[in-house]
Formats: sequence, C-alpha cells, structure tokens
Amino acid sequence: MADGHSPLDQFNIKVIQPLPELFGYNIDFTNTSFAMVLAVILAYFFLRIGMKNRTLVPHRMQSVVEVTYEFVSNTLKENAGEEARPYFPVIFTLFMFVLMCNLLGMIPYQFTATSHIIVTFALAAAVFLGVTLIGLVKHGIKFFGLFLPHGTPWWIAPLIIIIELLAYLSRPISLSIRLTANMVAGHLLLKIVAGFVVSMIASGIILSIVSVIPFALIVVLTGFEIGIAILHAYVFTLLTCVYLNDALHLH
Amino acid sequence: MVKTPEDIIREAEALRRKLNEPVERKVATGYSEAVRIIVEMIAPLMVSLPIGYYIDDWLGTKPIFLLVFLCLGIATAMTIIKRINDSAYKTGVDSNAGNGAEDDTKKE
Repeated sequence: MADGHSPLDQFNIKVIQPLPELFGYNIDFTNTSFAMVLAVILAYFFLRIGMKNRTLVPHRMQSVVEVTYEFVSNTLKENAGEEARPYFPVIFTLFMFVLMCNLLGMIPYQFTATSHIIVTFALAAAVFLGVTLIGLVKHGIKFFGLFLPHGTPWWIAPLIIIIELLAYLSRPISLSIRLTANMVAGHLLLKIVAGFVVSMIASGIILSIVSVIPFALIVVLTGFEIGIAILHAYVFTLLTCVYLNDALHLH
Repeated sequence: MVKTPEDIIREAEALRRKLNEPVERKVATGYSEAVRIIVEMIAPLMVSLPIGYYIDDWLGTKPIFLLVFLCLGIATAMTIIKRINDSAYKTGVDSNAGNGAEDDTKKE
C-alpha cells in the first residue's frame, strides 16, 4: 500500500507544537493532546450551551444535557449506592471526557485519543488509585479483607489471596485495554472497508459496480461505531462505579 | 377519545411502575461480550508475567517464578471468567459486574 495510506496510519502521533523537555520527559503538543483539549472544550460548551436558558420544560439542547446527567447519576446510584454521591463529579467528568474523545474520533480527519492505550491506561490507573485510596481511608486495614472472601478454608487462603490480588491489579489493565481495543478495532475496520471501495473502483468497471456493497457496509459500520463509542464510554463509567462500590461496601 | 380520571390514574400508575422497574441493562452485544472475555483473559497475565519475570531477575531463579506466576495468572483469569459466567446466569446476560464485583454481594 502506498505510503501514508495504511489503515494504521490514522493512529500515528504527529507533533503539532514542539516544546522543550520537562524533567527529561517529552511534553510536545501532539495531535493526541489536541484531541483531548478539544474534547474538554467540547464537553464544556455542550453543558454550557445546554444550560444557558434554563426552563422548567426543557428545550432540546437542555434535555440532552439533562438526560446525560441523569443517566450517569442513575448509573452511579444503581451500582455504587447513595454513599457514592460525593464522587459524582469525578464520575461525570470521566464519562464526558471519554464520550467526547470517542465521538471526536468519528469525525473525519479527527484523531481518537482513546485509541492509544497510554491515554486510557492513565485514566484507568487514576480510577484504580483513587478507588484504592478511598477504600483504604474509609476502611483502614479492613480494606484488605477484600482479598479474602468469607468462608475460605485456611489451607487454600494463601492461594486465594494471591489470585484475588492479581484480579484486583488486573482491573486497570482490563479497563483500559477494553476501551482501546474497541476503539482501534472499529476504526481499523472502517478504514479497511473504505480501502476496499477505493481499490475496487480503481480496478475496473465491474468491480466498481460491486463496490457499492462495501460502501453500504461503511454506512452501517459508521452507525455501529457511534453506538460503540457511546457504549464504551458508558462501560468505562459503569465499571468505575462497580469498583467504587467494592471499595465503599466491603463484603 | 375522552379519558376518564380513572384512565389517567391507571396510566399514571403504569408509568410509575415502569419508572420503578430496575433498568434492564442489555448493553452487552455478542461482540462486546467476546471482547470483554478476551480482555479479562489477557489482563491477569499482563500483571502476573512481569511480576514473575522481575522476581526471577531479582533472585536469579529463572524460570521458576515466571512459570509459577504464569499458572497463577491463568488461575486468576479462570476465576474472573467464572464470575462473569455466574453473574450472567443470575441476572441474564449483562455486562454489569466487572471482575471482582458480584451482583449478589451488592444486594446483601
């Protein structure tokens, strides 16, 4: 394939504004940073414009914002209980950020920040550390009871503790890989199918008529991909709530 | 069609019942469930293998701890998948419980 037209090309990081190193770390402003900044700005204006002229009977923009808010609020309440209410701002911010990053990737020529595992892993690690700290502060040493389910026979306890610890430590990894894998897979599929259309048109009349089929598939996949983008923002939030629930209510 | 007050009350009652019903979470399509299982299988290995490798590096006991932690990682993956399976049977297929989180523990 010609240079710059590989399906993986869309995930390349390009430096927009080189910056001097900070403590030996590269802090260049890249297209990832740009996509994330844009996501934050979009989220801000989405909420801001929706809430500008508040009315008792919401107008369209306002009801979208309210639905989003109540959706996250219900997710938190159902999965982590009322005690988790103080953490609602964090959860809501997380949801909006991931949602905006995912949806930005659906705009042509835009970059999907969540397709890079370091971005999602940073989010997941922040969630993991935060949840662990909340559990430790709230329950103290009893928090480690999480690693030993009730009714474990003593002779198998060491094994169970190690397994539970590994399961606990694998949470941020599975959380981040899941989001990244879904984003990368969807965008790759779109690009590959789009590549079919182009090469079919280029290779003759009969094939260019048949190329309508992959083209129709792209339309379906794009809709599907938008669904995936919203769904995985939700899944990320949902799992954060579930982990928060574990830390708040030890069993 | 004119609604009598009784009709309206009945409708309101039905709406309220609908509101109080637990939201059915059918977010898990077959595809996302598959991705989820794969990820949950890989993630414990991605934690346990580096641990084993660095313990070996530290103690100079190649490859004992790597193998031990490989087994532990596989055991963890199986535990997690068993949990997903259990919660799927209990509540119908949903992607609610993450690893370590059981539906029944929440209700206790």
